[in-house]
Amino acid sequence: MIEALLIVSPLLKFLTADHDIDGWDDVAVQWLLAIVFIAVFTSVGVTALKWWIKAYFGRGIIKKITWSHRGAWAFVTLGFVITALFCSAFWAFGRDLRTIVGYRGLMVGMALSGVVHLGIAAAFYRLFNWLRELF
Amino acid sequence: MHNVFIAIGGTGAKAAEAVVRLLGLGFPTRTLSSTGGGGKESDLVTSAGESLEIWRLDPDRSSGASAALQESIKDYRELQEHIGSIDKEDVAHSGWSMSLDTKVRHLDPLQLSAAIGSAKKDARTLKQILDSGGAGKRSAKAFLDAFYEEKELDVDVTKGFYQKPFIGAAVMAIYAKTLEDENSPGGSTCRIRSFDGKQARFFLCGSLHGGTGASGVPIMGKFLSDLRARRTGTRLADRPWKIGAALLAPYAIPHDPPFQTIPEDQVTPETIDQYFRNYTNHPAFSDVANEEKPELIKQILLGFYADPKDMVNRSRQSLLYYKEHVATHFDHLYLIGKPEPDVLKAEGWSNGGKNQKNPLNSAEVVAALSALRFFSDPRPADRDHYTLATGKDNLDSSKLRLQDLPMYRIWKGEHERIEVDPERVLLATGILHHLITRQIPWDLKAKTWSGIEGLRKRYLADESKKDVDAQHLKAAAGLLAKFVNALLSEGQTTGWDKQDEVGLSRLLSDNQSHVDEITSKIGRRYLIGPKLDAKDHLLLGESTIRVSGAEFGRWFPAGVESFTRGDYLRLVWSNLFTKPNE
Repeated sequence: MIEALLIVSPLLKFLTADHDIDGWDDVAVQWLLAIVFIAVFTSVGVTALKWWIKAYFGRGIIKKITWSHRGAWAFVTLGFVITALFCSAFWAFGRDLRTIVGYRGLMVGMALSGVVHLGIAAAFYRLFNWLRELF
Repeated sequence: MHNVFIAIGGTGAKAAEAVVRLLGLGFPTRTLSSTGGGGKESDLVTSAGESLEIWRLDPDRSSGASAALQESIKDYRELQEHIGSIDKEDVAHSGWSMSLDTKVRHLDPLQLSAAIGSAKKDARTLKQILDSGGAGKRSAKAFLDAFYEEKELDVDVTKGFYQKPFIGAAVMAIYAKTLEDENSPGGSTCRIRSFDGKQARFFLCGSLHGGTGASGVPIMGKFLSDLRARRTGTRLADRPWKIGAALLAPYAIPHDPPFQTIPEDQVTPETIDQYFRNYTNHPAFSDVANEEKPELIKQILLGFYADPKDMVNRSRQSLLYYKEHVATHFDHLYLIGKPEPDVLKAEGWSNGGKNQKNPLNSAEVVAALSALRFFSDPRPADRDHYTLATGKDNLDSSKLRLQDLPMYRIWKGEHERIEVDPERVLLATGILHHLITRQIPWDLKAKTWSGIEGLRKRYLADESKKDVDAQHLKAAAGLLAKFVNALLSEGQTTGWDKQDEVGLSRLLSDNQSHVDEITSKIGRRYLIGPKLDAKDHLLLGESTIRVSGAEFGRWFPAGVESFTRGDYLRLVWSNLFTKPNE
């Protein structure tokens, strides 16, 4: 665990604004885990939403379940917005997060969460052929 | 298997037109093993892989029926071009339907010059044929006077035999003899020798009451039957040729001509002139050249026209003749008629030639179905059975529904048969049209497609291929719609109830409300789970097909590296057709 923390240490520093406060690394780890969790949760949630929209409104009709690139990117954008909102909410309700992570850390965290979300979506797209129907 | 449809007279030509339309619409004649529809092994119901050529036996070279037949062949050729190919012999092939030799072989029974020893290239009257006056030959007049009146020997027969088979029979008998000689006009056209030893099905069609049909069908049937017997074994089962025929009893009554017959001695040049002055602007003469009008007037005055009052009696006599002398030449014989013939419009009256443009009649479609039944039967000739089929008691033959049409069966393997219901065939074709033109997102890039993975993969590497396929498939679908109209529309045909035309028009329509209605029905019933059942079925008359967009998306020829557009259409159609009726 300590070795893992040492490896991500530069990332943790990047995610936090104030490194002078004791215990900043614990908060940083919390923040990182939250970012990843939010990204995974958002990806799964957006995928489920997309599945539900296509299944309920599309009903297997090819023209309705075929979305243009614009439609696909709209959902990716939605994912970005959701991760940003969740990250902001998580940050806003944590006093230590506001202090140690700061606004800079929030921005970085939101961006990182969005990138992780995009990565998971891309992985779904590439790796799971059956999920092609959703994308 | 090679099929030959021999259209004899105007009725035969109309039935040939109907055969071409039905094949274009997807009517099947066989089954093929294939892998498709989700990778499962299945039997494809199709007519592709067999071939058809059409012979037209008629002295009337430019008849309206012939023009309509050429139009149908032109449409069929265009359809095959979009989804298949045309070879250098002008045979139209595709994976969708039977290969068709697009050159109709016109057998003109008046092209007899060598046979009758005459220097004249084409004889125009019975006298010129039977008393040709060739060098060193005695006149046959004394003999002919025992059988024919003078007016019958002198009438111009280049537009047909005016429902007088006793005129046509003599001509046909001489002509049939020339067909075996490949140097004669008829022999070089039909190339009958090229069929020696090969499997072939010959189907003849003509009317019982007409002139050309009533004389031509028995004689051509006998000719083919005698030729077969001479060239092959004596057992029916050993003979590679099968011979069938459809005979049409009166199904359409023409109106009376513009004026009545008069005694022969009153038909003088002065009388003809007078009638010419009085009737030259009559609609019946509107498309007749001035120089041809006197001859037409003379024909009518002498009684050489289709007299509706004699049709039933002539048919009865023909049937007796068939029973006594002709039936044994055929392996299959179909008799088609209407209890109440349709009445043709008065303004369309014609005595042959290009003006005789009768709309396609439902009885002619029934004749075409009998041909398809004959072409579908792979069994050797069996004279031990006959089938008596009739219509329903309450059948209104002037307002037929597709469900009233006879069904036939095609063979699946050695013992199993699939019933071909014409109503179901057209329903499947209508749904196919809708799926291809309205349900595939041709305007979007293929890599964004969902739910139609087979086609998507075809176009992933080459988007331009998608655009080419889209263009041709939509054009083919347009032609399918044209074929439906040619078969059923009120403006172009006779003898149909309007309901089926209306039902099919909803499937073929680009009206958004109709499209939305069908789209709603083909949506999946269950959101999750392996079942792809549709919410509702699609309906035409008594036939139903339930198919979801999700199922349609999975239909693709599996394991085939390249396939044609025709193959794809046939796979989709076959999967639709073989769905169970609810």
